[in-house]
Amino acid sequence: MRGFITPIATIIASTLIGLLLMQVLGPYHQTVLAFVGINIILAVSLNLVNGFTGQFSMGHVGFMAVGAYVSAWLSTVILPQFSIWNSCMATPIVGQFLFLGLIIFGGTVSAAIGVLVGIPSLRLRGDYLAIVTLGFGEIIRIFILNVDQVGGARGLIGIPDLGGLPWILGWAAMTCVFCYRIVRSSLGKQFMAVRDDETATRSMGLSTTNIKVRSFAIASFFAGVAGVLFAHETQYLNPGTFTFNYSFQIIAMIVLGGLGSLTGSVVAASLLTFSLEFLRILQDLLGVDLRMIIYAIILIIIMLTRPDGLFGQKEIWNIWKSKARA
Amino acid sequence: MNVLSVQNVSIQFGGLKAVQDVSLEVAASELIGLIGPNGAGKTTLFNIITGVYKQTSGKVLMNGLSTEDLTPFEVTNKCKGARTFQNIRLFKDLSVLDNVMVSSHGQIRYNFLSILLRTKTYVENEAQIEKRALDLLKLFELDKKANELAKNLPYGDQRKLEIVRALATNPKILFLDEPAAGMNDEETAKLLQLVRKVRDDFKIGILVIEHDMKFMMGLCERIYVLDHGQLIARGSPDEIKKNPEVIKAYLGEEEAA
Repeated sequence: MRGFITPIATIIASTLIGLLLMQVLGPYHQTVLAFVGINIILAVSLNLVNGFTGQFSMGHVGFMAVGAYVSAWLSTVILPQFSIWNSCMATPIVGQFLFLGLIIFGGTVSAAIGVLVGIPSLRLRGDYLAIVTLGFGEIIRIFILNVDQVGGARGLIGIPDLGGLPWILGWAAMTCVFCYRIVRSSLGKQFMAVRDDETATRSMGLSTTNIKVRSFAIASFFAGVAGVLFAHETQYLNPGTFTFNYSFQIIAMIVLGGLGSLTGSVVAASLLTFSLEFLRILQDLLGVDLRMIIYAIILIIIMLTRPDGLFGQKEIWNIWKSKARA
Repeated sequence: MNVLSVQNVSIQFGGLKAVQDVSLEVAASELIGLIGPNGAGKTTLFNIITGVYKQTSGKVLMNGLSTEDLTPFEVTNKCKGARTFQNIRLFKDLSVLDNVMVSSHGQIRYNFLSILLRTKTYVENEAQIEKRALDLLKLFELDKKANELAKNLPYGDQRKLEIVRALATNPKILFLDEPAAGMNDEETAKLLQLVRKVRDDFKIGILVIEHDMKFMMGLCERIYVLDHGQLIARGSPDEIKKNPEVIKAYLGEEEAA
């Protein structure tokens, strides 16, 4: 039973914090915080593939798009046709439970597509895998662009306002708890074994393809969840959001935080998301948009001074412990 | 019963016959050596046995199962054969304990969902896997270094850990690929004790590749000699030492005066 305490405590705490912040903060700050949460989910889950399993995926946002569009298509186009759904949504509590179903469904579809993409492509290594995943992300985007049911290039409007900060913070926390538990289990350590030496992993009797697909599927699930939350937070989806530019941003976060450090991803995701917003203030003062330049300079400086990322392969508490000992 | 029986195995890479018509047997808890000069085809034969290469003809039976059509990981799982590597291939960024725990995957009894919820099954199973790994490490006096990263171990301990990691898969036969490479005399002597101990404690068949003749003569009960892909001699260390074919392969032919 003790295993349930952390997740339940995390859910309650983040819900309360979320509700509190909704009272205290204005809509702008709430949106920034929501993006921080979504980016944390994306970065932590991508770190499972890129950092822990050592497979360079560049199409993470493609899976996010799958989750976002599948759920938004259901909640805006399909389900409102049924009166049962509408009457359920009229009651907020029931609506929240249906949203949970939507989140899990979006994540599952995304994970299933992750498995389908993963089985052929994870036989490739390094650069080749990066190119295939990059291509996949673009295929998803172009596909969505051409489906009129979800608005095509116009985007999908009128997505119901579900979720909000408590949901996003809750899932961000749960993603961290679950991913941490996974990498600590001996099943999860197989991911790191693949990263360190594939030949040796195989000769220990483990199928490296299975392990890689598993890691890919878990990461896709959480990317899908991030997508569902994103869709119902912004209430508008546009295929232009899910370009490889966004994938690169997530990769920047995990490299900055340290490949193989979950807490590093959390810190870097928060840092980069916040800094892009805070730099707007500078823009107001100077009158020119230097945001992307300063953002790039921050990245360069951090990578020069800490080439392994902020935390390397360690978690934040390990660093504190070794500091305390020294 | 033979844990390994290689029957008339040949492999051809283009025009090169790397291994020709080789047969050998390893019985349960037997210590067998495979020697030969550089390029004799020892490692190629090893790779055929462990499923990395597919033989052109012939058959490999491990624990009575044909390794044909099996991938390397299936050879380890189904035929119960585990190997070490000539150039150490540890999971270098994992701890010593984790290296052993990863290869104890046969003991995992929980499913994925139970990790997320830390169910009783998961916690107990994981504790049991950890204890088994620690027990194994203790046998080889590595338990004090269980939490160190594998890459930080001294060379001799890394070799040792490779053997422990292979043993964690519960093999019936162990393949050691040049375990004494890069070791000095003292380390080699220690290794000799270690390999004997593994055989005595675990009662498994062991096939060793090595070109350190002294080491092999001291260790093995029977030795096969490979040269240019062909088996040129087989027998006890004493027989091998006297065999003119072997001497010729290693030292070259005596010039007629």
